[in-house]
Amino acid sequence: MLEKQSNVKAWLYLAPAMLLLSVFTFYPLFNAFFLAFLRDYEFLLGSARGFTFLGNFINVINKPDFGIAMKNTAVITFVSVPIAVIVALMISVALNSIKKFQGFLQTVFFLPYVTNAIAIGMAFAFIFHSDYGLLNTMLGWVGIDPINWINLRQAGNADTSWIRAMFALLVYTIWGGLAFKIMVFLSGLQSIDKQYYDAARIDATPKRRVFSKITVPLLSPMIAYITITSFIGAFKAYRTIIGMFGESLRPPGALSKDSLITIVGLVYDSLAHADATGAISEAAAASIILFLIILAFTLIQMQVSKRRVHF
Amino acid sequence: MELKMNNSQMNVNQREIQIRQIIFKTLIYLFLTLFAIFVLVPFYWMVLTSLKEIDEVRKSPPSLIIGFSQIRFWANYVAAWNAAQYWRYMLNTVTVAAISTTGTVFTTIFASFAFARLNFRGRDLLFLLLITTMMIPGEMFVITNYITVSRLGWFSPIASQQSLLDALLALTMPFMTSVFYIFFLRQTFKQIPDELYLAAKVDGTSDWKYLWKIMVPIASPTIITITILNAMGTWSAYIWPKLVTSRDEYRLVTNGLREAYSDFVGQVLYNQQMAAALIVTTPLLITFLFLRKYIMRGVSRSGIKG
Amino acid sequence: MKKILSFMMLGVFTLGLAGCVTIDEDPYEVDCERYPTHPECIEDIDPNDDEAPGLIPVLDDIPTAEPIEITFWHVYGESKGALLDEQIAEFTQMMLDDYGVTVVIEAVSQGDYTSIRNNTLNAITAGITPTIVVGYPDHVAGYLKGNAVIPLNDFIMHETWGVDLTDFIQSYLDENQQYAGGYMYSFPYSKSTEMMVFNKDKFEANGITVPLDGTITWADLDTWADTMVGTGPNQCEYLINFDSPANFFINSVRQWQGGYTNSEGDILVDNTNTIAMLDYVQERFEDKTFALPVAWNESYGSNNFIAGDVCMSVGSTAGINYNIPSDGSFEVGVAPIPQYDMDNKSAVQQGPNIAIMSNSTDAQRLVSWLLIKHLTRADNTADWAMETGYLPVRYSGFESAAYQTFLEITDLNNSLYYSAAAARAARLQTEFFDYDPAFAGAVTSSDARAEAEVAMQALFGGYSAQEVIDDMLRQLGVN
Repeated sequence: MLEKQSNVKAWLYLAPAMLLLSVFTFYPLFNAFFLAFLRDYEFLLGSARGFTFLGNFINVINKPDFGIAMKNTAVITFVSVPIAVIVALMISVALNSIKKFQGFLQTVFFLPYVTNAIAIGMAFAFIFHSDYGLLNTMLGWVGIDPINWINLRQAGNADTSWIRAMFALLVYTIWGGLAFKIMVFLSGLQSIDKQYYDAARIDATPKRRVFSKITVPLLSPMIAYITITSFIGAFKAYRTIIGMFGESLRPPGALSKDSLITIVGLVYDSLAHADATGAISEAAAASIILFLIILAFTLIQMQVSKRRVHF
Repeated sequence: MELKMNNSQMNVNQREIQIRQIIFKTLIYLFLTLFAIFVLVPFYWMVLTSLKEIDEVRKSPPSLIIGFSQIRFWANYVAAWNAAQYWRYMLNTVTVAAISTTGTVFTTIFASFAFARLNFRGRDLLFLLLITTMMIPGEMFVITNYITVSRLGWFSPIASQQSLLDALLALTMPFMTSVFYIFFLRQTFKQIPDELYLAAKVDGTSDWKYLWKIMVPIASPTIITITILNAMGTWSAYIWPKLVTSRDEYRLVTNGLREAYSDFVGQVLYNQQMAAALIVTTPLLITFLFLRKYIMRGVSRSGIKG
Repeated sequence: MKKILSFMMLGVFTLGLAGCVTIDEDPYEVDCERYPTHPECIEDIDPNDDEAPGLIPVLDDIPTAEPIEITFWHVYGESKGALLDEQIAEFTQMMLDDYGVTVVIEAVSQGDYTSIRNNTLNAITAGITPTIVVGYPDHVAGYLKGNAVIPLNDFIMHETWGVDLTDFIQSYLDENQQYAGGYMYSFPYSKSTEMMVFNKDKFEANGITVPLDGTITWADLDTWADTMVGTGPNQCEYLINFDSPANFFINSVRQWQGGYTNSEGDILVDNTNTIAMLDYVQERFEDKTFALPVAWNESYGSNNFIAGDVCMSVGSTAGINYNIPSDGSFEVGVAPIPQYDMDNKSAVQQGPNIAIMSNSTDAQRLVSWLLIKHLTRADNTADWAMETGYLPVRYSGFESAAYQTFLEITDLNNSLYYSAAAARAARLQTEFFDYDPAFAGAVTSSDARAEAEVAMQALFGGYSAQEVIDDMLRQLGVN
């Protein structure tokens, strides 16, 4: 404890944010919870036939794509986040340690932020193109036959089309998240007192030790932030899939078993049917299922990292 | 004799260290360059496409470089610029970005300070509650907020019932604060050692003064990062602006960008679209280049401690 | 402090929620006093009745006391939007000159069809809507669930303000009369169909003359494929491309008299004729007679048609000009789409209609109707068609002098040459136009279309007809 409690003062500092959040975040959130328990809610008429405890949740779980969505969400989350965080951390520390071209490279790593979504989609379509794509060309250099990543299914390899499309999606997802993570880590590195590094230099501490004993611990709040928000973001993945595969959420020619739909995809699907009886309640229910999964995961994550991170 | 031995041994060691350092530096640059290329490909693609003639864009496999004589700079960029009233949209976007970013930065600084430094009952629980709001897909908020904004009188589909001020309120108020950035800045504030705060307390510095004189300057790279990210958010927003504006004149750049090319059947004018995208993001790039040096300036706290 | 705040928040929530949702435990019934024009509250219309049904009070005069404001939501970008604005300006001037009434029309683009539907659904929920919206029939069917659109029959049959429906293409009327009760809750506005382009040079080199009078059959395609498909200089990788897999599926089902869907929302694809059609098509995919744009990983086949990868291509009349090589490397012919069975001809008609929202005054409704009438007037629908590649919605539009002159363009150097050729092909198809049955609800007609597209692509990718049908049924919730 740093000092005695200062409730009134704290709430004054919090007031502007909390007021806005109450109206535009908490209220819609509670509303979503409320809607999830309505029976036969008619969005357009604003009326419902009463309440149901689990009805909407059961409808969501019974959707044909629910199992596929759970699987895809899990794969995207647990593969892309660890890789993206580690790569971003390495790039940031490397970028922070150099003098020449630092500004130039930093600008380059920022560019994904200002790149048009359509251009990104086109570029990735080119990278993964089965005939003349960059990736297959490079694989050709080391003697690997072209692989059919995201293009039309070809006879004989239908069973693996999900894996290949998922691989392409993961690369795309990791690419898309790098700019933000690098910016956060860099700003965090800049807030670390230079004195620590000066002291380390005088003591001639090896670089690896500097990294593990100074950089990582002092950056731990940022690492915690990026890890938690990245996991939340990955659990909510959807835009990237639309960006890569369009509305059908799968490579062309694939059937629904190879769909890359996620839980948020289910939410969107229900929202797109706002005029149907109960659809908005199902969207709310799907959101709450996702919410509970993320919450449980985040609480575990916080509990585990509490020992190591100054949280 | 002994001394000489030591000296030469030291020289060998030093040279070894030097060589190691050079190898290490080379590896770092190699690593950064590889990832830079990986990150750069789509951006290069955007610039390249914006310079191609449409027949060239259609080619498959696409050409990765184009000759100087084939560059269609003027035609694509002029056509793109004329496809929508970008001046109007840019002005709106800058206004909305300025208001919502200023709002976000202030509300975020205050809230993060309370969470990172002040001690109050239920702090951790409230903070967790805030984080949980990020776990609901954003689209679930849109419908309710749309109704809220309509009830507050800031939006009506009937154009005569929405003034410019109404539109500004509808476009900015929901984005005047952000849990995402409160969390971010709180973490930066947490990096600042407690001793600084205790020392300031001993000196009789008030919390308000401590926040503005010490915490904000130290956290300025983060605050500038938040500014850029938030402005970027306004730049790429299009669903909400389209939903809560009754007139074309109130909309933002990405609306212009998307709608200018929405009614083409049978073909997409990628070259003009990319040119338009580059035109509208140029102000952002310039802003970034300008603010970048402030992110990377770093802070030495030796002056503060004394 | 925290307690007070949480109390305040609780108060806000309950107040807000109570205002949003009414809970009614009673069996669900439409409140006919509140929504007198809901299909469940009115009797089905008798198509032979000459009397107006009298559901909507139609003013005999336009009130001139105050300016009348109309909000018009559409989906058109800069170029089409400019022509629309021109026609609207002409209308407001006419209202001022002829009736002395000031009409203010705010025409605002909502982007694409998905956004206009979302924005309108949200507006209906919030209780303030635009006056006129452009949209597909399944959009309107959805709005109808919120009692948000009015039937137009009273306006259509009004002696002063009405129109002669016999002047409109029958398929357009059928499409707009498929809603519950048979009333017209929307009116045909911006319509197109599909036509076929072919590489004239290559066909001529092989001594084949492709007829332009609409007599091409799928059997002809088989014959031509024998000579045209291959790797020679006057051959193509595939014979014919279909830009829209969904239209290809739906249209072929009709030509084969198989089942697709109906206006009640039943999914009827699991039947022998549909499966037989898919099997037949799959054989043509395998021997490279038929192709879809995914063969080249494209959304449209126009690039590959120009590149010579495919000798023929079926696509929207609105997109004709993208199939023309800009360097004039070969001449393009335009013909009606091939038919499987000349006794069961079918061509898709597509494009949005226009509807009046119920949240409006009698004066607004009347002026809105007059605007719709103005936009579909013979000369205006013809202008719109010539400018955009859509088709006139009424016969008098086709027969108007300007449109006839346009149809007769045969000079290859005229910039409208290909648009005119497409329009001629389209005109030959108007008598056997078919539309997608529209339905809203948990499964919409748009969902069915999306699945038809996926099914066709999967078929192209090598899945069997039964596999793609089973997957379609599963996704559309039919077991």
